Amino acid sequence: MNCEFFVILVDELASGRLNDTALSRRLLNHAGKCVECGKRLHEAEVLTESLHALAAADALQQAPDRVEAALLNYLGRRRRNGFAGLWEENKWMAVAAGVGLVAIGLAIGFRHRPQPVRSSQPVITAPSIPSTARNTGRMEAPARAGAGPTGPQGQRSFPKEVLPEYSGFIPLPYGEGSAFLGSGQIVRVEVTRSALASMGFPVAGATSESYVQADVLIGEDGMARAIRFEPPENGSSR
Amino acid sequence: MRMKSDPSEGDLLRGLRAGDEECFSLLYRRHQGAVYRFALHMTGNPGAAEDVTQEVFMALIREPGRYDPNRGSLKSFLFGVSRNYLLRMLERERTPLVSMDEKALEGEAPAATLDLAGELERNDAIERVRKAVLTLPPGYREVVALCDLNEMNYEEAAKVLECAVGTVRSRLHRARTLLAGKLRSLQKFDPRPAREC
Repeated sequence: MNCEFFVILVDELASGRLNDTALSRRLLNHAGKCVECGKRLHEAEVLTESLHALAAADALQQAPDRVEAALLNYLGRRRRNGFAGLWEENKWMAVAAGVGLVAIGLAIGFRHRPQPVRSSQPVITAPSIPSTARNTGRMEAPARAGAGPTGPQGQRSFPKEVLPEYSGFIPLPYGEGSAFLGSGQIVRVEVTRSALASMGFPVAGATSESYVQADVLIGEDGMARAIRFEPPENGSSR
Repeated sequence: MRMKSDPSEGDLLRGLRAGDEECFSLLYRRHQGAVYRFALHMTGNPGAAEDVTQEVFMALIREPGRYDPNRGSLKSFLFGVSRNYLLRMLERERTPLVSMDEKALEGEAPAATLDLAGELERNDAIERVRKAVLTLPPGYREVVALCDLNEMNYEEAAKVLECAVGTVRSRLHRARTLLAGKLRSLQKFDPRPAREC
């Protein structure tokens, strides 16, 4: 037995955690012979007693009764509410997940939005804007025989309703009865005359690849809903 | 739910899963004292100990299935949950919980024999021990709180601390060495006259 070995085991000896009786006896013998190790053992025993005294002093310490009451209340609420309680606890996570899904949906919709056609080619002339739309704020179908746009696809019908701030717009034909949205974003584009003709607009020189400047109203769904041709005096023709 | 006279923890946990308040109360009363005292020894703050106790049992209500009886006792599980809360709390606050002079406590202590035995009956001696424990680094404090103040054996403490038994043993040895040094310093710097034993 040497002092180094004693130092390693003195705490276990003093706190009664050493189960080996023979080893305990050897350690005690060493402490009896070595003054320093005798002091170490005494110090470790006093420390153990001190800690036991602290533990005993705190033995009756308990959480206040209000903690149990609060926990029982919590348990009762969970039991009564069932899934509603779970929702209450996790609602912010659910809201965050919902916002995330909406954002993903918008991003996907934005990616599939129709792209404007751009070119530096000059545009010759713009089709006339229906005078009724300018004056009344109500959209009327553009004139070919005062009914609607014509072209290779033939006659189309357009929805009639439009808000005043969007006057001058001609609804684009996305099928029968497609609603003209009351809100959206206006985007300036340049469209080839042949493309306009293919959509049914009466354009002079429909086979030409020259460009017409126009404002396109993009609906909240990212789809082009209506088109407005810039008046000639604003320099739309190039 | 009709309770047996001394229901097992398994019965009580089953009752808790079904939302039985009586089962929860019995479980709570069995373990809340130990959890509260552990938190008190770690923080020295009754309010914080109360918060930790509440959080630990709320976690048990929310997810009773997290406790796996094959991995240890419910007591060890609750101490482990408490420990996680406590370490987060101590990390968040990062302020000394007691205003003791660390330098004085950590200083090279003389090899004088402790003379605490005669003072054990006095409350201030106990408070000195409490403060000395609170000045230990959390890693040492928790092992003293578990093994010396809550009388856990090394195996139980190792489960709570998620470490090897040998690690518990060596940490406890180091913690007690630090603690003895702190108490020696406290005695040395105690302005009151020394008492006769």
